[in-house]
Formats: sequence, structure tokens, C-alpha cells
Amino acid sequence: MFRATIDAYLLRDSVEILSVLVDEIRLRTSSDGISVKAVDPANVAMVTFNLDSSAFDDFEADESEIGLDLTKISDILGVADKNDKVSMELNENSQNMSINIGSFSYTLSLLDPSTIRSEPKIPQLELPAEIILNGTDLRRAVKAAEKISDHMLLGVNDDVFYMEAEGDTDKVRLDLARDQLIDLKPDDVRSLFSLDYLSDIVKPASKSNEVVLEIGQDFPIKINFEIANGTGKVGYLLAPRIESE
Amino acid sequence: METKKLELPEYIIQFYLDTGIEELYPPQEEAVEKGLLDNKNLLAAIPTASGKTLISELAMLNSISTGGKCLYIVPLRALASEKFERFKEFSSIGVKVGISTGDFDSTDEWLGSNDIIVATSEKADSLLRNETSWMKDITTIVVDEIHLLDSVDRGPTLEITIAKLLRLNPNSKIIGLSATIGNAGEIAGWLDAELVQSQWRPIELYEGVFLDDNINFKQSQKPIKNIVKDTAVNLVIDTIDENGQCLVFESSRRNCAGFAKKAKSKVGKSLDKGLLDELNNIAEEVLETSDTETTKELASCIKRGTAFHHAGLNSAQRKIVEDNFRNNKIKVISSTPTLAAGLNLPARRVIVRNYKRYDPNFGMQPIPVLDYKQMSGRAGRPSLDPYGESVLISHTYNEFTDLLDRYIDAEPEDILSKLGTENALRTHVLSTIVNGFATTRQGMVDFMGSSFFAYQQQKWSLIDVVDDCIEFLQDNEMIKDDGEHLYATRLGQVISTLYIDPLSGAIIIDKLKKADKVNDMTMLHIICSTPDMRQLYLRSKEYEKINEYVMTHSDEFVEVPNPFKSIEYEWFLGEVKTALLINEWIDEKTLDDITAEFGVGEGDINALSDISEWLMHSAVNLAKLTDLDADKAQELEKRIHHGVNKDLIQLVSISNIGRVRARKLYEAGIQSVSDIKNTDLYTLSNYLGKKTAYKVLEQLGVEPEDNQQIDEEPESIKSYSGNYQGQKTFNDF
Repeated sequence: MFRATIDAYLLRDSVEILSVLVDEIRLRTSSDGISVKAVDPANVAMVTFNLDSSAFDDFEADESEIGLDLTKISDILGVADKNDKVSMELNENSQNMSINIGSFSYTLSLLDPSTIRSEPKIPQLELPAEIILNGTDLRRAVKAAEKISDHMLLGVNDDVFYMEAEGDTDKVRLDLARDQLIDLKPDDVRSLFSLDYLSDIVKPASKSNEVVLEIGQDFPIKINFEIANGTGKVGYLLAPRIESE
Repeated sequence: METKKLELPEYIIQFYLDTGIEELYPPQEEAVEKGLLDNKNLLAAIPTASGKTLISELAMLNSISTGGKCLYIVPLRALASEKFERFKEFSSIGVKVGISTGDFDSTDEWLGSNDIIVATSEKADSLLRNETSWMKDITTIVVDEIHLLDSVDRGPTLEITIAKLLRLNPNSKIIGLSATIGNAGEIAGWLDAELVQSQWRPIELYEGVFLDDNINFKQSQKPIKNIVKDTAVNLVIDTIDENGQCLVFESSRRNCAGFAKKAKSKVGKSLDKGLLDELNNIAEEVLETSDTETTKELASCIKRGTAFHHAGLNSAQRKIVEDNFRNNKIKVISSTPTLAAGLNLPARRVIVRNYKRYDPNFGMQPIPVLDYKQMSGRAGRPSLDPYGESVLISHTYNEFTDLLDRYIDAEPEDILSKLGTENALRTHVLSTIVNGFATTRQGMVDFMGSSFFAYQQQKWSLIDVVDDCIEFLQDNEMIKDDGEHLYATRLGQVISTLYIDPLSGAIIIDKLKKADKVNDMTMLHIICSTPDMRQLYLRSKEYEKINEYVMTHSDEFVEVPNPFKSIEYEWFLGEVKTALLINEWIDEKTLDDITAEFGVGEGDINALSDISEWLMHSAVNLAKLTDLDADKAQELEKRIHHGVNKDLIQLVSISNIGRVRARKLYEAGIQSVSDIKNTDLYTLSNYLGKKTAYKVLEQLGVEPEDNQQIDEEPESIKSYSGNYQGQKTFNDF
């Protein structure tokens, strides 16, 4: 069974976090809360998402897997006001879910989870450098980079974390020294990432005051942050591009 | 007017009824009323998609039903194939259709048994020069896109071809099909044709200008959601949200590709998974056509539903883009304006993102109204879209009102003949003498008097130019004057049938005579210094590199101009750059390397190698004729054709073996046809793959023995990284 009530804005944020990579998810429920692991069709970016039962106003569930179409849910949430509550209940026999928002009530048909790409195995990676910074700083750097290039270098040198993008003719670089960061565990590393992905990922991250980046040398990057006052945890993992030349 | 009321044989009417055409469009009806099916000439100046082709079809089929033969002239090869495919549908009513492509010095006599022959204007001209016999039997001539009389490159040939055809077949009927232009009456007058002029379109066209989050049409406004910074991207998204497709016109190739890339992430998000899967397959198909950087870019755009289209793509890629736009898989094409002039590829919304174009003399200039109308006319697919929209983009109120005046409310310009220069006329003066359309100076002046130039402008202004041409041809011994008549020498005849500019012929002969020793570069530069070659533009940063090459190889050029004469010298360096590109092509450099080094597209390399092969072929003929050494040119002609070094010529002459495969075989010690014959299928398969190896042996008359088990070629594992260059995936960790 699955029955829950949650703030509309929180559900909307959650859907956004996942839909930057995939359109359909396998949602795992348990008495502790809900979780999703997904990888984009190209196998380039992954996301792990956990939302504790305490994030909900009302939560009751046992172990199960539900197949959801994210676009449908975000369409439905279009009618919701920021402060509305959304309540959901799974109708196990008819394979659909009732969703109530204010005086609207929807019946959402579910997907057969076996038709959705299975959960990825999250690779165990040793990433030597760790940076903690404000999400808006990260978003700003990515936005600047998008103007001139389609990829961006993230790295640490001495005690400075830098983000750099080079287009055909122009270049932009943002240096953040230790005192401009919340925390830094330095190591001499750098990796290049596709801005197509990065810009989508940092959008939800920008709402967080503390974003944790873990970087290696030509290795995937981990981007972790919390939502809903720490009751939700989000981790993105993005594979690098190879630097040419 | 109902189709069944047409005064045509029953089987023709039935053909149209069967294809669902029961009623004529108003301009078609007007054409019939003005004598389309009688013995009248006709000029139809009507918008795109208002049924021009059908007008020409009715006239042709009518003529064929009484034993006539029709010539359909188009400006582009791609258009020739498009029309050919369409007319082939008449085979069900017994009408035979042929298409004339191929080399300029062939006569294509075999085409004569067809009822309709489709040809480009250049090919039609060359068929006349080669005195193809069936040209005399033409009863109906259709000239598609006749407003191209205005084009500097093609206009002169088009009007001379029309003039010759009408001289050859004085009783034939001519149908001109034109875009809406300012002076259609003038062309009609020249052709002695009835004029059908109309603004009617089968589907409503709304022309608007974008300003401040709205498309402003004449009667209404349409708000556009401001999602990203780029207005054109927002317009694209808006169209796709309404289930339409978009054509975006850009000023340069670079901008075309740039826009397709820019729009792809947003467009991709609006598409459903099923379509994205199909697009992935299409992208794979594109990747198989070539492995240049441009190809990868194109594939990555197509995966997200966008594409770009310009002359830098190879023909396979262009076809994939066109076909998949027609079947509504690709949602957006950003294209250079050439697409507007050519193919029938309509879309719901046309966005003219950039209405300025670079002119080497004046910098960025607004495009002519005629060009704008050609682009906006592509909006709206008949019977598929409810309406068509074209949008110009303005950024300020001043620009907005300027665009309204300049384009939306403007009439298209008049078109002007471009025949009146020596460069345009020289080749036609020669061919006119060679083919006997004129045998005296006065006869020449009379013949030129039947051109559109003479009709439109002053006949006397042509006379000086004609005299200059005659003088040039006499000086170069291409024609002679025996006091009474002008007649062509053997040299003149050869140059005319080779279809090259007489000046090119003169340059080739002159330089071959002056050259002491001829190596590859000497010969390549000779053909690159002719006006028929399409010169590459010398960029300032390349000056040093090319200059350096000239310094160290100066003895390989017939003459090097004085570097202090800077204009002449830079022109020369441009010729050398072009020659160097051909040199790399025949040195087996990969297309990818050549495109990167010279800043050109793959389509350009194909075009350049086609032209230079043709010029080299001409050089061979000219050298033989003037008793000069033709060996080098002969060797280079073959090498350019295949793009290989000398040692591979034998191998590449086998079909199915191209430059890459040939090199592999050669390196493996299989260096001649007899070597291949002595190689067993198994070994050969290692280099060619099993299927090709089998075909090659079969072709050489060897019974391939297939007694050994050969595993199928392993499917090449294409990772997703074809999409994003250098993108790793989690499979790598």
C-alpha cells in the first residue's frame, strides 16, 4: 500500500530533480520513505533520490515498486498552488493512483515497472577533491559558461576551486578561493563536463545553500545536496568528457 | 473549373481524377482560359505551392497526346531528380520520362525516345552544343524557376538556351514558371506569352514581424512564450508545441549549424520517446555517410529533432535531412537561403532569423524582397497545415517598422538580365558560331537580339561586348573570319563541346606551352587559375602558410606574379590554396582532415573535385589537340576522380573499391587486379568485409570459393559518444 500527503511545491521540486534525466521512473516505497535511482538513456548521468517519510504530512507505505510517468505528474501539478497539499493513494487492484489537489481529483494510470529501464548500479568511485559551496554560485558559473561553450572544466588547484569554459573564440573562468567556499578538501584534479547535462543538473541544486561536489581526475563528478530541510537527499553523478588536444 | 471539363483526352483526365485532383486551382484555371491547351505560350508568375507544376504537366501531356516531345528545364540537379520522380508517375498512362545528367560532352542520344526529358539549363545548353538530334523534335519547352534569368551565374546560360531552343524549334510552345516578380510582364513579352499572375495560395500565408514577445501580423498578434533568450528558439518551441514544423533561414553555414545546435536541447525535450528513438536511428544513418566533424554535429542535432542543411553537406546527408523533414520526424531545419530557391520542403512556420547577407563589396546588406518572398512562401504545407506563417525578427521598434515596409508590404524587385558582360557572353558567342546559329557578325548581333537582355535593355549596348568576344576568340584561334563568314576552328569546336569558358581554354593552352616541366602542382595550379574553377577564399591567417609554400615551390608554377602587386598576388595565393586542397584529396588525406584544414564542407570537396576533374579532362583534350604532352593531365584526371595516389589507380577502377579500401589492400601487398584474382575469399574478406570481397571476385570473373566458415563482420560497437564528441559513459567506470 501507499498513501501520502505532501506539499505541492516539494513534490514539484522532486519531479524536476528526476525529470532532468528521465521521463519515467521506478519509485521505490517503504515504511521509511520513497527513493529513486535512475540513469539517463545515454548512460551519462545518474541520480539517486531519497525522501524520508518525515518530509510528508502523512505517510503510510510498505515495500513496493511503482512505475510513474513524470511528465504526467508535472502536468497535473500545473494546477496546484505553491501552498496546496497533494495527497496520493495507490489503488492496488486497478493499477492506478488517485491524486487529490485542493478540490481536483485525478486518477493516474501507472506504468508497468518492468517496462522502465532498471535501476542502475551506482559505481563506487574514489574522488579525491571535495568542495562545498552555495548552489547559486555553481549555477552562475554554469550559466556564464553556457553562453560561450558546450562544455566546462571543473577543477581544484592549490586551494582554489575553478570552473572554466572555452568556446571557439572566448573563455570564461570563475575562481573560488577557500574563503569564498563553505569547505574545501583540495587535491590537484580536473575533469571536463558537458554543459547540456550540467546546466540541467545545477538548476535544482541552485536552490540549496550547500552543494557538495566531489571531483577526480578525468572522472565522473558527484553533486550532492539536500532538500526539504534535510529530509530529502539528492545525488547526481555525471560522466566526464575527454579533453581533446 | 472541374478537371473533367478540361479539353484533354479521357485517359489524362482519368489520371488526375484517380490521384484526387477534381478541381483546378484558380491560377491553373486562368492558365487554361488563357490558352494553355491551345497553341499559346504562357508565363505563370504565381506563389510557391499554388500549382505551377500541374500547369506545366497539362501542357506537356496535351502535347504528348498528339505525338509531341517535351523538355523540362530546371536550375538545379536536385530539382531535376525531384521532377523526374514526379513525372515517372505518368508511366501508367504510357508516357516515358528521361533525365539528362552526367558529363557535359555526351549527347545522350538515347534519351530521345522519351516523351518528357528533364534537364538542368547547363545540360540543356550542352546538349544543344553537341547537336543532339532529338533537340530538334521538341514541341513544348517548360522553363521552371525562370526568374533565375536574374542570376549572375546561371541567368546568361538560361536565356541563351531559351533563345537557341526557340530558334531551333520556332513552332514550339514555351511555358515559363516563375516566382512572383516585379516585371513578369516583361518576361512574358520576351517569350511572346500570355501572362498568368496571381497572389493566390492554396493555404493562407500570414507574414509577421516579431517584436517584444509577439509576432505582429497585419490583423492580429500572437504572443510567444519567452522561455530562453533566443527569440528564434522560442518561436521554434511554440511551433512544435502546436504540432508544426519550422524552417529557419540563416545567413551563413556556420550560423545554420550553430542554430540547430542551440535549439536542440529545448526541441528534444518537447518530443516523445518513440520519436526520439526513431531520430536516434536516423542519426545512426547519418553517421554512416561520413566521419567528418560536421557529420557528427549533424547526427547529434538530429537525435534531438533539429538539423541543418547547406551546400557543405554531402548529398546523402542532404537527402536524409529532407526526407525525414517531409515525414515529420525532424522538426526544425536551419538552412542557408539556397534551400528556399530549390526544393519543395514546406513547413508550418518559416523564421527568417537573419535578413542580412554578406556582400564582399558592401558588407552586410538586407536581402532582396524576391529572396524574402521565396523563403516566406515555403510556409504552410498544403492540406497538412491549417495555415502558414512567416516571421521576421526585429529588436527595436524602428527595425520593426523598417521590416514591415521593406518586406511585408513590399513588391518583389524587377529581374534584370545579366548577359551584358564579356565574361557572360564569351562562351555563348563561341557556341553560337560553332552550332551555326550565326555565321556572320551581323548574324551574331541578330541572334543576340533575341535574348532577354536585348528585349529588356538596349540591343546596341550588346554590340560592343559581342565585338570584344569575337576579337578574343579570333586572337585565340577559336574562330576564324574568311572575309565572308565566321567559322569555328577545331579548337573552338572542342572548347564549345567541353563546355568550358573559352578563357579557361586559352589559359590552359597558354600555360601548358610556357611550362618547362610539368609536375602535379604545376598542372593543378593551371586548372585552378581558370575562371571555371571555383576559387577558395584566402583567409588572412592563411596568407603566411600559402605564401611559404609558394616560396619553397616557386619552380613548380608556370608564373608567379610579383608579390608587390598585392591584389594580383593574393588572387594567385587563392588559386594555390585551391590547388593544394585538390592535391591533398589525391594524396589520400581523409575528408575530415581536409575539411578541418581548409575550412570547407564535405560537399565543397565533392564539388571542387568534380569541377577540377572536368577541367583536367578538358586539359587532356586540349593538350592532345595542340600536340602538347597530355600524360600528366590524364593521370591526374583519374586520380582526382578517385581521390588517390598513382599506385592505386588500378585498384580503384574496380567498382566497390574506393580510396580507403584500395589503400588497405595495397598496404597488404595486394596491388593489382591480378593480385586480387590470386587472393582467396577469406584473406580478401579481412580487408573488404565478406560481402564486398565476394562481389569484387565475382566481378573479376573468379568463382569465389566459400568453403571456409567466416564469421560475419562484427557489428561495430557504436557507443553513445558519437553523439557528444568525447563524452564518456558509465560503461567506462
